[in-house]
Amino acid sequence: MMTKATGLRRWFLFHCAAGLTWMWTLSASCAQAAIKLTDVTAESGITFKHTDGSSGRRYIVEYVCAGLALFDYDGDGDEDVYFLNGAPLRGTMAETPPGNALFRNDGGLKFTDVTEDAGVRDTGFGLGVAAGDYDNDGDLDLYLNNYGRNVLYQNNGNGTFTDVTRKAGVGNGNRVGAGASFLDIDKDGDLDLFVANYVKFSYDSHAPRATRGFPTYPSPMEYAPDPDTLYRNDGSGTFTDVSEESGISASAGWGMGSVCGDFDNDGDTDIFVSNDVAANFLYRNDGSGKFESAGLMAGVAYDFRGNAQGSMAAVCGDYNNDGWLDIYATSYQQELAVLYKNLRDGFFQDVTLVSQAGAATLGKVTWGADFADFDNDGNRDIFVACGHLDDNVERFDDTSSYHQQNILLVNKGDGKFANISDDSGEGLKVKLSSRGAGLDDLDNDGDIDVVILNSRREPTILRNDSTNENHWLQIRLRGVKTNRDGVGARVKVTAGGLTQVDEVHSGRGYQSHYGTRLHFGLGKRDRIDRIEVRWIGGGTDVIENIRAGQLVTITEGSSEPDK
Amino acid sequence: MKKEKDSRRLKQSEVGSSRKPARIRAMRLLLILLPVCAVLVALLAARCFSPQGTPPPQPPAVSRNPPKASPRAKKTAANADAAFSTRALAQALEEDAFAVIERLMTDFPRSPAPVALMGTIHAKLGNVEEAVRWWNRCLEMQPRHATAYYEIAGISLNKGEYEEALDLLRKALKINPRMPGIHHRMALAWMGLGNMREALAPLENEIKIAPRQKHVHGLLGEIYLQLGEFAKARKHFETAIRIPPDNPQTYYGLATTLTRLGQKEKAEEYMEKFRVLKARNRAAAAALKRNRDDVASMRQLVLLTYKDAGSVYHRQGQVNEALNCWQKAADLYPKETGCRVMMASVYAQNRRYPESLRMYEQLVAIDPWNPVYHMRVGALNAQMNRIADALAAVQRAIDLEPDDVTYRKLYQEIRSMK
Repeated sequence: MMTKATGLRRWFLFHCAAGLTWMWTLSASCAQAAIKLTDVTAESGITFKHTDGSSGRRYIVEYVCAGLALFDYDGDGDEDVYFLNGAPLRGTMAETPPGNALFRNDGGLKFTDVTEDAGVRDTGFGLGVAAGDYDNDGDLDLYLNNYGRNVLYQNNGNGTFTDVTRKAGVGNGNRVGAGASFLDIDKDGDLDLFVANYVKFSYDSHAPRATRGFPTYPSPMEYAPDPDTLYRNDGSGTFTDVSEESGISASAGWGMGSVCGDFDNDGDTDIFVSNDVAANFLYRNDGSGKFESAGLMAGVAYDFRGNAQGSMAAVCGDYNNDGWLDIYATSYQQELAVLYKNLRDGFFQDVTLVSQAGAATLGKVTWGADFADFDNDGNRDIFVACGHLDDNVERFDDTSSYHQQNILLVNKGDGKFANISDDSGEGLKVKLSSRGAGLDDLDNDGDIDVVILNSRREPTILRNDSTNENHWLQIRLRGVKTNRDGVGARVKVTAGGLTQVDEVHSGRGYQSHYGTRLHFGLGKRDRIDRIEVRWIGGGTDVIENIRAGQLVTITEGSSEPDK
Repeated sequence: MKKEKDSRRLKQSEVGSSRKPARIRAMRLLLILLPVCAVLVALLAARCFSPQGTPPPQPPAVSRNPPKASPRAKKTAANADAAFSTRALAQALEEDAFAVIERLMTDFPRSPAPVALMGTIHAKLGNVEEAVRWWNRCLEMQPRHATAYYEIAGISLNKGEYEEALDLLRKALKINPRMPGIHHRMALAWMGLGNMREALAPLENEIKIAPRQKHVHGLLGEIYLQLGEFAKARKHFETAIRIPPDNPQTYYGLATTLTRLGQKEKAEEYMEKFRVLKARNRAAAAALKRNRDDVASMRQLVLLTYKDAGSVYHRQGQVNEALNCWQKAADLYPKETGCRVMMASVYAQNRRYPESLRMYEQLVAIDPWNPVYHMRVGALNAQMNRIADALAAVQRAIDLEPDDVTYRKLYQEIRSMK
């Protein structure tokens, strides 16, 4: 029989337990609510609407369209937005041909359409884009990787651009493009250009496909792959195709995204290419601009089972703060987006399952993605843009939908991620068919915002409204002997026992460009002990004792940030 | 969409299976008429498509080509015809499959088997929610239906709902601890949750049930590799490699493990083997994609339905109905072997040797390299005292499989009957 004392003890214990559970739940939900993204598209002034040029015939090029660029075209200190657009394909007529669009950032996440003034309304079928100062004149130029002739827009430095494709020799023939990246392959101080190519497509080779009688897009496997292209910058405004001599065109893949980084920490820039339904490529640079295909043995060609994924985006970042760049690649439905952990010995391990970095991606087609520290806690989270390619997928697969919710995975700091998409503000409740995504601080308030290109629709602009007391630092590099924006330079930031590395990448994610200035979340640390910049093909600069919460510009050869 | 499904089902139950031949005749007529009135059908197709598909949001300045008399427009109309007829055919085949199962349900209203089959067909059609509803109905009829739990768990796994999958698999396991594949699925669920250690136990159980399962050893290898226990990973990959057929994934796992163990040369050797196998598989997959025939795959679905329906009738003791279903499956796909084997076996069990022999002769024609079919032809001929034919058939089996003593023994037995 229960005594009164025992009963009281039980009552007390029960309420203690209930209280603890409540507190635990509250703290967990508080931690999850730390990131809040708000959809501010409607009031942003961005009027762009994407078209894939479709005629209902479902040509393969339609669904891979397109990427976007966040870059400071006018050098006024904020990131402007450039959207790629499709063009009418055979069977489609357009009264006014759609074109790409440039929106100037006026501050406060307000934008103005300056496409016509800037002269960048290319009406080709846009797929990939990269921004880079190829002529080292201090402003960012634009390279467009199209289906059809590619375009190089030279920035005139006065808010306008000039099409210099023919002169530069980077038209790349009549091919189906994909991602593009500027990088300095030979450490000679100017930016060379990597151009990924998708499939060998022609209208005549198109065959209509169906599932349960419903029309669907063909598989890339039905088309021959197209080798990628590498252009070496001659330093005089022209480029030379070095695909063959560099070893890049030795294998043909179904190229999608590309990202260039120093994956083996040997001081030169390597190239990672995500390939659709085929082995990904990792081109290891020998330092002179000659590349060796190393993806298979390095462990990044396939997932851990040896299966090729329908890889889309290619991104890299140091998710576990061990000083080495890891790789993340998005993929097709019924595949997980894959996280390859850099094992620091030339090899990578697919840690998608143990890290849960593929959480929520299985049922979705995943496109643009990247690592970014959304809550400035010093650990890079992952954002993933989603959307199916078949607009009628619901008709033959009720587990899927054309419009899909994007994904936000928070880095818990222990090598694991958690899906917080449903708890990160109404901005992540938007369901469209997303493609390219760009991550950068658009309103210069010290946190990462997101711009997403949605197929056949308006884009989505997500403002980061996270409330936390965490500190941050942004770094812009100014090359002197090396390329002007420090593309390929490695930056190591040490603050209160936390060391993070990052590199400046030009062209990344899903056929997009963003992140020219680097962003570091610092948690509670309000001062940075040391910043080390290793310039690509140059020396190393060290800057010490910097206050957090600011954008610093570091010029090559200097031991102080620019005033 | 749901409304449409419901009305379709209502239509099916009203009409029943007797409507099928008339529908097929109507389809044929429609197909003959289609090229004659192309423009008319294009308009009809446009009408039929707009309520069916989610209309893609149109870009503002882009419009579709009007279907005028230009060669390009004619091609568009022809494409629309093709699309329409493909959808109509696919729909007709779908209805065929459902009609068969609905008849089964009418014939055996208390049996969960047709209900489970309905779930299977819906799942294969991509109607996963509907499939789960049917399997749940199956569980209402028979709460200890392990397969229903197993199938719903499979859906949860595909959705990435690993906790739910584990819950369902535990229920299935309680009912049938020796259910094939169940431990494998449990391991996959644990892996999905990122818990590699927990994934080991079910697989070790699976190995106890059947030690020579290539995929289980492969998965164990993958898990140990993830855990960094390379010696164990290597052991399992090496075991998997010894079990045919050759599977590229196993070589990939072993090569990766050997890389981790610092055995670079050996790793490269296995990676090369992986590369070769992968290239072969990829070429086959690409060819499959290029030659993909949607209607043929729908036909396969109907075939599967007839095949499974035949098995249900057979289990319920209705042999003639079973044979009828299998025959329909065989007619649908002239190269189908499974149904013919089942029919031949049932005929033989019922001493209907000539019919059984006819089936095996068809099987020999379909797959002349299979010694078992020749052996059966021989045995059945012997049963009917056609000794010369019997010996000739068994001799062909021996030629194909000279090391198999069964065939030689049978040959001697038949010869002694002379």
